[in-house]
Amino acid sequence: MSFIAPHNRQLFANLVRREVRGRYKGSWLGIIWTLITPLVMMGAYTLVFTVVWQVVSITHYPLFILTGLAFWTFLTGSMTVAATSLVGNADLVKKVAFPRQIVPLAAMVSQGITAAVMVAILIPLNLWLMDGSRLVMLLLPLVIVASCALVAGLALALSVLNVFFRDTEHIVNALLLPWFFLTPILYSFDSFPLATSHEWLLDLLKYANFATPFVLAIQDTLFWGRMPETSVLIYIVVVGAAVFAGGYALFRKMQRDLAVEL
Amino acid sequence: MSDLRPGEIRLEGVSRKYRLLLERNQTLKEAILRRRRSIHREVWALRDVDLHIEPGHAVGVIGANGAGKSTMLKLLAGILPPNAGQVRTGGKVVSLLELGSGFHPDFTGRENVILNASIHGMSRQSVRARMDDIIAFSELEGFIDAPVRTYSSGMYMRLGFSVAAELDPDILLLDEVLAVGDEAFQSKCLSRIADFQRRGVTIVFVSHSQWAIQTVCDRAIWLSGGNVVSDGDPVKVLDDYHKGLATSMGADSGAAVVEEDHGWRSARIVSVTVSGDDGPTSRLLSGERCIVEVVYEVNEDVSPVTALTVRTVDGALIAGTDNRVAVDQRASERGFHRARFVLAQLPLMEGRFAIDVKLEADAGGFSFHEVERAVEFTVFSTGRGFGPVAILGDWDVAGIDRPDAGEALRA
Repeated sequence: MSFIAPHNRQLFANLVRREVRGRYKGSWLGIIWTLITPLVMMGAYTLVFTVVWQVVSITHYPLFILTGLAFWTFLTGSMTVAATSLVGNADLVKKVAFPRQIVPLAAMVSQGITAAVMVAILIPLNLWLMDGSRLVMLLLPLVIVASCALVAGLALALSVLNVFFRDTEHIVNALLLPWFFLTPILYSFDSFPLATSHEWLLDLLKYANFATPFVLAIQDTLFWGRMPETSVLIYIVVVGAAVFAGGYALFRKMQRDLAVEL
Repeated sequence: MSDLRPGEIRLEGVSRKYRLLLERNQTLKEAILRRRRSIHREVWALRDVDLHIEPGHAVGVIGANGAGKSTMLKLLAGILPPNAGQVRTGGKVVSLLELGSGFHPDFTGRENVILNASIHGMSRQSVRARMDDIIAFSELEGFIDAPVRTYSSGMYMRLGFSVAAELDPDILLLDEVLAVGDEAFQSKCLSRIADFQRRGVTIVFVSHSQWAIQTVCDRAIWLSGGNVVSDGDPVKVLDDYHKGLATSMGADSGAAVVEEDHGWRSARIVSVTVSGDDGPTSRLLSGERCIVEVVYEVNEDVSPVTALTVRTVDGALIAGTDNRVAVDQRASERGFHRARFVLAQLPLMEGRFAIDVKLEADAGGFSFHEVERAVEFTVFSTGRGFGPVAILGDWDVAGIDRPDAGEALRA
């Protein structure tokens, strides 16, 4: 993060700490709490899709869900928290001069900690249970870097947008649920009934929703143990870089008048 | 920036405007769906300001609210960019526009010191090294490991200033930071500011307190309508400022000139002024001495009663007083008179208040002239309690044997 000067790293670390601590004030379970929501979701969906309504035939289905959720909670958690971060820290932004990107990025990192813990749990479990090649896990750092770039770009963009257009956070929140079901977290495209007859539909679902290739890449490397499609890898690198560059450019352009608009 | 010495400040043709939204915030939905822009008016907070401050000077900025004082500090701090012109500062700038900004209520005092120090760019090591000094300066030893949400606003400010006192700036920007806190702590802050000055730190200081400006500053600037109106020796500038106020008193200086209306009146209110310890002001401290002065003109042989009604800014009645009984002190000759109401200790809590002024006839409830909201002022408070009125008293709790019938609380 070269755009955070060394003397501001301290502030960055402190804001992350403040974000994390502030959310679970005084709770001794601390960071464990952040894992409860994905774990409950995993349990509920497993129950519904494998026991009650037996439609999924993925072995180790709970791990499959958790892999997708690691990315999803990082993405959407960061988007919602970052969207309100500048408005929530208005007193700081209006009264102190410091690089403003620190605020949304600290919000993102605080969400990233949860995802990191999930991935840290998934790696040994998948290494133990996975059928495919364990070597593809070497690609995981690339997938993580691309994901971070994507999320950082979105976090930066949404944080400034929400200052100028206060309904941004509500629009984002409204889109999250339908977006979740359009992203292959609970299901896999492999078992898609339309996959053979309507390939264009599959491609549309895969590439029009920018979250999908990232989810596929992390599922392939972390859960299936298979090489992601080249197109998916190219997609996540290009989109990650583009969204980051675009988000950062928008942030730089709009942050000039932050102190007046807040 | 390299051509500026540390502590030097240069403003060249600096202008800054604000958008005054005439409607609610713009929404993304509307911007996208209807391509509708927000309706707003542009207001210039600063207009073509040139200013050069030599390193080591302490400059006081005075002016009515909305004159551009805070905007100037924000430009100097780099919080806002100018719309035109150039703002250049040499060396490390520390801005204390608000003490304790960025404190997290659930963090302890100690944790907030670390957070706040990092906001101002202090490294972890130097915070650690100076932690004891910071805590000692704040005089909050007993509370430093309690969450700051349990602090009073005075304690909050004290901790905020204590962090600031340990910073090492070339330029220090202060905005009205001495408006709160008890007197002892205020003088401690001023002496720390004097320390900064001795070390050659450039200080830019916005204050409504004439006393603070005269104590601290060797130069003063009077801003009005976004322009520098007067610049130079603090005594001279303050004098200009007060003369200017007398001719065009704005409601926010704590003084208001009542506009002459067309009708002829037996008695007419000319001006109303609220003063604290430092003269006319719109900011008072709870418990401070407070004087309300009404200047009026008598045109006939009447002896008007001056009546004051204090209200909260949203109109709730708090108290009223008049000089009906003080017959001998009431003027009865024609000409100008001044009625003063002196309060030894202002019994109001934090908030914004307004005073209605009336000149009444001795009997019959007829009023010669009345002005609603003749002046408005803000009260700052450091004490505990709530509501608009400060009730002064002492608590005492002791164990008792057994409540008898009289003391038992009926449900």
